[in-house]
Amino acid sequence: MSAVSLQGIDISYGSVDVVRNLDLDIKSGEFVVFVGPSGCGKSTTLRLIAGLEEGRSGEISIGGRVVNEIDPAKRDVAMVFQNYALFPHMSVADNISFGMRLRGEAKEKIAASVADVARMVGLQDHLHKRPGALSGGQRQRVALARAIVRKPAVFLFDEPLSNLDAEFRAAMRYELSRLHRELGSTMIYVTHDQVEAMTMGDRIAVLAPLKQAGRSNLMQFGTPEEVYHRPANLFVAKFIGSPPMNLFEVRMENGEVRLGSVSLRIGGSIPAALTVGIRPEHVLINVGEGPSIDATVEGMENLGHEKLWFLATGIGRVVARTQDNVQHITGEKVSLRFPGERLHLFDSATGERMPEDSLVRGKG
Amino acid sequence: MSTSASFRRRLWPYVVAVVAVAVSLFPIFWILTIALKSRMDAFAMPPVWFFSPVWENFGRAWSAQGFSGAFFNSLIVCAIGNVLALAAGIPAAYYLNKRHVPGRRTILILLLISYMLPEFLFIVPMYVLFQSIGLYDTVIGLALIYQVFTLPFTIWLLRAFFADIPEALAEAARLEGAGTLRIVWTIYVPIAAPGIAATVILNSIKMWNELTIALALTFEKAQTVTLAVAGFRGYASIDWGAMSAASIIIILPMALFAILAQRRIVQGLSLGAVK
Repeated sequence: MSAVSLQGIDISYGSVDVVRNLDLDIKSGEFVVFVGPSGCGKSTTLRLIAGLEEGRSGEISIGGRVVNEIDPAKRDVAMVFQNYALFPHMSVADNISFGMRLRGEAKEKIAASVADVARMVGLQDHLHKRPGALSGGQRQRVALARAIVRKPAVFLFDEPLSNLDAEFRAAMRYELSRLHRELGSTMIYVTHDQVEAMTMGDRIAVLAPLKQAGRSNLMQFGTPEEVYHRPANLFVAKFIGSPPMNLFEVRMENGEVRLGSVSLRIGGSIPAALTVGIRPEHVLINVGEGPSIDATVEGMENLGHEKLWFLATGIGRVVARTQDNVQHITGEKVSLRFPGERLHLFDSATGERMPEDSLVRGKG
Repeated sequence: MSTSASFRRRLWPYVVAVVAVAVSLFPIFWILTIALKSRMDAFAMPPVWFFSPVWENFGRAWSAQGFSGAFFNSLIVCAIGNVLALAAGIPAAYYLNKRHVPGRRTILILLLISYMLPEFLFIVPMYVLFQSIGLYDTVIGLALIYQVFTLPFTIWLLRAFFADIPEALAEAARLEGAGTLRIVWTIYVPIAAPGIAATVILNSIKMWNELTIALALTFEKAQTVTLAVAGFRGYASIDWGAMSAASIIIILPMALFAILAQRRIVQGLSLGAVK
């Protein structure tokens, strides 16, 4: 078990900056997920920790030891690659034991370790096969076994489940979480899939491409609850959650902002332009009393366990999520209510979240 | 009616294939018949189609002065030439696939140009050089000079085969503590083995059939099969029977090689074509 710390990391490819000013402190034994869209530098940062990529500046330490100049093999990390990176000409057993054989460990010890790990990931009946004879899920297990057998201080996962079909992915998500509990190792997991991020991470680091990010790629580093319920900025608010948060640009008038027929009182220092956000599941349709926003039902997607409603309003399109038993018809007039405690306020200019006390009380 | 149309459509590929095979195999067939005919039958007009084969041409060819020696010389030149080409070509191909090699494109283009240069360009300077450093008329010398075409070809071909190997494999091995040499030897070479086999075969055929350079840079000791076959042409007469038999003998090793390795060649040349 080892903590991983990144301080002031800059990475560029030629003249193009990919990562800038990245500071991250990952606790020992923590499962941290790097999530973000393509080009946000999440894989690059992971590869930097592994030693497969070189940064322009900054300090990387693993277990309190600065590893910038240390060979990848000696950093005490194991990596699972997106395309598994199995050696196609070697049996499963040889793939798993590749590193041990390289280090010249005793045959009996290798055989025992391989058998142990194979049992752990359910590969005991496939040890003699070549990777080509295995399914995608089994291949991923081989890659996992090859990492586990090293007993590394830190596991690095580079989108390990993205090549699997949905059914396998859910099962592997669960297994990886179980593995983390069993081994207690520090794990860093890169994905663009927010479901993986939300379900697996102790903490999530949301990264943005530099073009959208500004000073640093790191948009927010927090627990899944924090990232979902208190997004630090508009980028996180838009990126986490599916369908994404409803966002409305509003203007201040006499210390109040108007959201359709609803007015909100704002305290503290107020920027000229604000963005108000609400998650689809917090939008109430024909529920509650008081000021409401008139809307017309434009369409619905039935996901089985829930329904997504697409609603046209004077302030723009609103998406609402309800239970499966709610019924409306297309073209129906409804009234929407946004509970004040569920609203998110952002400074439109900087994209930053406003302090929690700025919303005095939504009258709606 | 429609059955006969579809039959005709299915017939066409076979017709084309049979014609192509006949055209390309006819010279070999003709040489084989000359090799198997007595001197009388060989040049009878009209050609004798039915004859009792004689084997003495083969015996005369093999025991002709210098022929068996030339045969083994060619084998050795091919062996050494391939070892040299792979020894330099494998590491070169590996590195020329890396992103961060400065001047990578220039190096590759230069290699391609050197491959395309006509062979006789090297003859005059190499004749002088080989004489002075003692490589003239040696198999080592020939294997070395053949690198002007085998090495660029090897590098280009292996580079393409290596490019199909995901870089993550090398990275995974590196994380386990493997150095570059071990990565190339235990990962790249075994995975690209069909490609390497195809390269060796194509290089061998080229070296085995080479005449111009061998003519200029050997005299007696290091003569190769192509020269030995030409040797059956005397001042006054040509021993067509022995020459044909010798031609058949020198075709055999490469034909055997190609047949045995055919699956590998096809596998190698289509490596990575289907993921």
